[in-house]
Amino acid sequence: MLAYILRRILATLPVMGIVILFVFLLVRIAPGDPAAIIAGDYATPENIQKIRVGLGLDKPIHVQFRIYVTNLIRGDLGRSLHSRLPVSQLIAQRLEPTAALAVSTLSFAILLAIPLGILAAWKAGSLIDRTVMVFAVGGFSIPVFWLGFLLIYGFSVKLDVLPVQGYVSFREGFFPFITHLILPTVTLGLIYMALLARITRATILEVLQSDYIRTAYAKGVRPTSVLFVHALKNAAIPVVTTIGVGFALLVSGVVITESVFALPGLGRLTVDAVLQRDYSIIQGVTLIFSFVYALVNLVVDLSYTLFDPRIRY
Amino acid sequence: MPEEPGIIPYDRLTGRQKARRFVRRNPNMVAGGLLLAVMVVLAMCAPYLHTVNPVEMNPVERLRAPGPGHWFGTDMYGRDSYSRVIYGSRISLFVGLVVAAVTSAIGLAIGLISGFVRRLDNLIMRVMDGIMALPDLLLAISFVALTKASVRNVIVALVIPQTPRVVRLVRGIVLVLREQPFVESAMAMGARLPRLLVRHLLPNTIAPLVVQGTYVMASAVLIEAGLSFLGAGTPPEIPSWGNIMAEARSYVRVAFWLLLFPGLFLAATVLSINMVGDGLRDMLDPRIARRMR
Repeated sequence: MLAYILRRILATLPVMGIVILFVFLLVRIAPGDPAAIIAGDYATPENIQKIRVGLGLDKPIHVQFRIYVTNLIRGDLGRSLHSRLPVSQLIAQRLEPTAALAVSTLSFAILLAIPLGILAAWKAGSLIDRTVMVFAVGGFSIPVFWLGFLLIYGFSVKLDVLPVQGYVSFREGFFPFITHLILPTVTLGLIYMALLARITRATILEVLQSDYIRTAYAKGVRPTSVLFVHALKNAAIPVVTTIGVGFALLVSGVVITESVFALPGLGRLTVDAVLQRDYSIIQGVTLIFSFVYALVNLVVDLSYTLFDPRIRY
Repeated sequence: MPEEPGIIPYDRLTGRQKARRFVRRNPNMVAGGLLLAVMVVLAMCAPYLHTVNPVEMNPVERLRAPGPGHWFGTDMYGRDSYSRVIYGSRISLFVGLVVAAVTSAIGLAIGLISGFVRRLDNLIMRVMDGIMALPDLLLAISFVALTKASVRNVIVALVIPQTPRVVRLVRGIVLVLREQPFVESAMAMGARLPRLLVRHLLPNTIAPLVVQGTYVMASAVLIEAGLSFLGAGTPPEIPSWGNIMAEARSYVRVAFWLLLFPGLFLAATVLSINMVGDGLRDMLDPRIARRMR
């Protein structure tokens, strides 16, 4: 098992390498010139060239790449082209709000969506089922930022029970931390929940049609036992896979949610970096994201062994 | 076979009866289709729907609440919000349709080739996996940031992340089909690769492709709005729902109607597209159709 984990981690390295190379090249083929953007509207060509040399952008591409990779191995993600701050420091500063939002959204969505999906499948065709389905389709169609503003308007402007925007670290107070996090979590969570509830329902519905379930009923197993002991475990694998795949969706949603609620997280950092063509930050964030995504997929794959004993590595 | 009294065989039904049956069996899809049709009509007939020039500024009338003269109120520059929302539907629907069409076409071509030509398959799928590893929005933002902001670049930026999904879908179908006897007999009769692909394999991919195409369109409309909202989408001179909401975000307290209506139309459009897509999928997938009825 340990060997399998190590092998999987090693296997993700080439994929990450390709992604890094891809981002590295993509950003540099760009028509925009960061040196010109930094220099401003009234800079002379000499100024721009000086900035370019200072940033190391004048060297040929393969030399730049070699420098980048060697730094990477030493754990140095480079420096932001605009602020000259170390990228790792910028990422570390912005990591907490994003991680808090991601964890709370995932928990909220999973804890609510899966029971709802199971309930809808169990009582297929009933009012509960139809309600859940309407919610699932609707939730997936609503734009994240609109939902965010609706919630802000309802809870912050009209009812004035929750803060409008911003982020408070839990170190500065647990209660403000929670209140600032509620609206963003619900916004992003509802959409993720819609997808998850739908997949859960579809999977459970399909599992409940299986022969072995019918056999269990015929044997006289109690319906609740059939559901919890037999059906759930078999339905778990596609659901967990969707959680892993939905993670990428979560990232896109996080970017927009952080913008709406003014959370100083990685999403905002990335968007600003892209709009300023700050290569170093873009590369660093992509690397971090790929790593986390690979980790999530690894955990998902490993969880398969929990659900299906036939899968053994 | 004894015929139950009252049940008429399908071929004896009139057109009207068939239509009523269809509506009864697929209420969601019909509702979605109607809503989508309304949106399309609104977009196409924009100038005739009591609208004014959407970019005309009128500072005297800034930030008026919805009322008789301005059904959706006015924004911070005095522009009529109703006109902007109606004209905005043009951009969103246009982008959605074009992205869906282009993605389907490109995805179909690449998928057919990838599924059939084993040597290229590995390479193509690696590239597709690489593209799919990056989140849609970030990829789109990166592309738009690297080029000038324009509707055409937004379309390209949206096509790139969505294509791998279509390629996967088509490739999956081709992989299953290429072992079928009819392919073998076609080859035995001397059909060469292009003819095989177009004449024999392509027709089998049309149905799932159309279903996927609707989901791509829904995605495209949403992501385009998201891009515009972040400032990396449609240029600000052209009103699009995302743009309108981006400008209105500072006015949550004082002029919420500026955020409410564009978002409402956006949600309704995407919802209708999704409902049509779901309906199509249920119609075309015999397993689900059997179970649901």
